Amino acid sequence: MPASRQPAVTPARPETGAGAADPRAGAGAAKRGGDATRTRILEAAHELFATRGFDGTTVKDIGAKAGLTDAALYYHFRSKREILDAVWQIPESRMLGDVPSGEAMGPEVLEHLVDVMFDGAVARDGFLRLMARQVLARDRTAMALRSQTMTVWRQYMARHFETAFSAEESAAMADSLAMLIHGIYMNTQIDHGSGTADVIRDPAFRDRAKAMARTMFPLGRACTAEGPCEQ
Amino acid sequence: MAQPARNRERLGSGAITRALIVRAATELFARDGYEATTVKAIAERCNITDPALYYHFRSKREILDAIWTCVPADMVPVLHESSLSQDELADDIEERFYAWARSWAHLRILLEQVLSGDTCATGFRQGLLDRFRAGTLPSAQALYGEAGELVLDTVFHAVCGLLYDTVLQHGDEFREVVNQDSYRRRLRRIIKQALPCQPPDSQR
Repeated sequence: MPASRQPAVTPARPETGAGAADPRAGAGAAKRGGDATRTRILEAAHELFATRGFDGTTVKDIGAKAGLTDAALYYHFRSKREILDAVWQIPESRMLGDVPSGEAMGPEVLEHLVDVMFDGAVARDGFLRLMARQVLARDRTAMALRSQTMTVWRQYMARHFETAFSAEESAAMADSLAMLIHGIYMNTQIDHGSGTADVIRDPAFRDRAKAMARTMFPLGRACTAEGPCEQ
Repeated sequence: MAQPARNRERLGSGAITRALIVRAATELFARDGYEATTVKAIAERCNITDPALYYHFRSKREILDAIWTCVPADMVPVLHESSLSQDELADDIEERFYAWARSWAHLRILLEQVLSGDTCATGFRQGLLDRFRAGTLPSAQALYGEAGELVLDTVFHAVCGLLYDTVLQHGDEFREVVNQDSYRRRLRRIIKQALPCQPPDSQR
């Protein structure tokens, strides 16, 4: 893509430096224009793929939603498949950030983990559903991405358990917790479909989910008369 | 070609044909997806004509709805007469899991439909949970008192989570994977994690 000469534009990004003296300012502006359009296309595609599926969406649909002609769209992507491959790379599709510093594992941290997982699921609902649909359609990229996402998710939880348990135990516990949350989430999806996000935001839902997590991981709380223990 | 098919259609009873259509559709929906499967393909698989199929079902959608009401016999679990010990309860849940896992095709269809926002499988899922509870609640209440229902919900969701995750993760290799020893151990661990009051030395 040729760098077109633009009138002096204050760069939005600090790394391109200040003002028109920077020879890259012109190229930067053209690239940003291109990037903005690319982003619009990917956001439109992301939403359409998530609701209608990859096969159910046409390039024309994406163009219409992004406010572009077919020609303008094809300037950025040669095919619908290429658009999907780029959607997988969208930064907010990365599930989780850094592990917070090691507060010892306990009931409060457990409940916090449950919240983080469900908040993440709600925030990325469209993306996660798209990924799962593509997995069912035997899309290899989606399968690899899902595998990677689940691993990241489990490792994030395992690191919290590791403040109190061995690495091996932590991995096993993280797996069990992951499956519990996944099951709650999917069963909620089965029952509520597009209303799932609202249900998951409901504090009563969260309380129930946390109660289930505490059932799985009594953590530091001795079995007392109030707990389910009989021993 | 049409003549023999019509003869075959007349010989079978309506209920048998319906069941054949549902079974063929289950296999095709699971393999190729609901959207991609045509009524024609379902009819061909049953060796009947399109009109013969439409005699029983007005649309592809109606066939899908019928799938959820046809629960395969091995998904219906056994009810226990006396209440179980914790180990026996864990065994029972493990067996239920494997009964559910045999209906891999239903699970695939369920997931595909759910992910496209269709809540058609709600009744089916509720049925699974109801039968699960009916079979395990007496034992859970004997073991855990008032918390029995919470414990069972926890186990149910955890086991469902594993099941759905395995369908998604392993797709066509699902059957081989769930029958591996390492998988069975993993399932067992998850079930035991969800049933409270494990022996004190297994938890720090």
